[in-house]
Amino acid sequence: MPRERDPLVVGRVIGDVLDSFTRSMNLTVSYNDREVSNGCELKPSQVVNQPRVDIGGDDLRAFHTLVLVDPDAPSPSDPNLREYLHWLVTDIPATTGARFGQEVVCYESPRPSMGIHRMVFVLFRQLGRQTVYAPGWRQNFNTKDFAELYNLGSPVAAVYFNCQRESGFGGRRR
Amino acid sequence: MRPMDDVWNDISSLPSPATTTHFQNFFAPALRPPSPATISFHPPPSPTTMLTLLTTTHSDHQDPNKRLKPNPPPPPPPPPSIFTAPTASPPEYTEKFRRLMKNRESAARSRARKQARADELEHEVMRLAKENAKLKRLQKEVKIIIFYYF
Repeated sequence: MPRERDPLVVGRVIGDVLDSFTRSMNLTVSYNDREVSNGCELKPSQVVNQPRVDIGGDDLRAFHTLVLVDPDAPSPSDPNLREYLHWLVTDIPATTGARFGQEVVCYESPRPSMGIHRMVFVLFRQLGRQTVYAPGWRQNFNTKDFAELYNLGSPVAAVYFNCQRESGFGGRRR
Repeated sequence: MRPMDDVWNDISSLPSPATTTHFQNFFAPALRPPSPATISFHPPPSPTTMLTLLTTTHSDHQDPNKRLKPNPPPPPPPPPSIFTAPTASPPEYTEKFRRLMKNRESAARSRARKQARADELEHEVMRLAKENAKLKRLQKEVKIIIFYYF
């Protein structure tokens, strides 16, 4: 009997970034036609440009917010910048994708210098179309507080990948 | 697990007046009964205890790695001798221990990463197997329909 655990829990995404939630929507993130699955490893060179994000649902009138955060900044053993905000898109209609939304904080490509970082995509459902203000800075963002501030409730979907420095000092020796 | 630095910050955030007061209280029983003329908070300690006191507070300033515990003050450090280990009393604050804890955390993260990946792949496999079975069924039905009508 295979032991089934939620990868988000095992990878401590639920714990470090989010509280436990129930998935209720499809979230597909692809970098260069390569779909991101939980815990997969991507190189910084592969994630330089923003990914294609498709969301599910069935009602075009339902709007969603997407965030991408790094809870392991600047280093997983000392994450004093947790969480670093890489991307924030709001007003994404269901059945469409991030390119149909409002980019409040533009995509900043991950460039981890120390250790192996988790890069977490979180999708929230908005109550309605709303104005979301960009935070003053990217570091020390708090996804939970942000969701509370804008009444986003619990996430409806999340996915994460691992990313480490491509080569040279600071990355993992192979 | 909290990073080591959190633990360090908690310990180092102890206000120093509290610790000195603690030391004063430690020696308070020696005051009783106090002489009516002088209520001294610094009774002249016996030579041995005085030495101890000096050693402890002195090491406080010298070594930032060593911190006083919030609970009962630690017993005075043993007099230096060739038999004591080179790294002194509280083992928790040595560089070696720090590295050990960091390594343990790193190892735990590594195991978590590995397990999370494995769990995700298991889910994927199950999902794909189900979809595959469903598609095969559909394909069969389509074949039957085509056969029946042509």
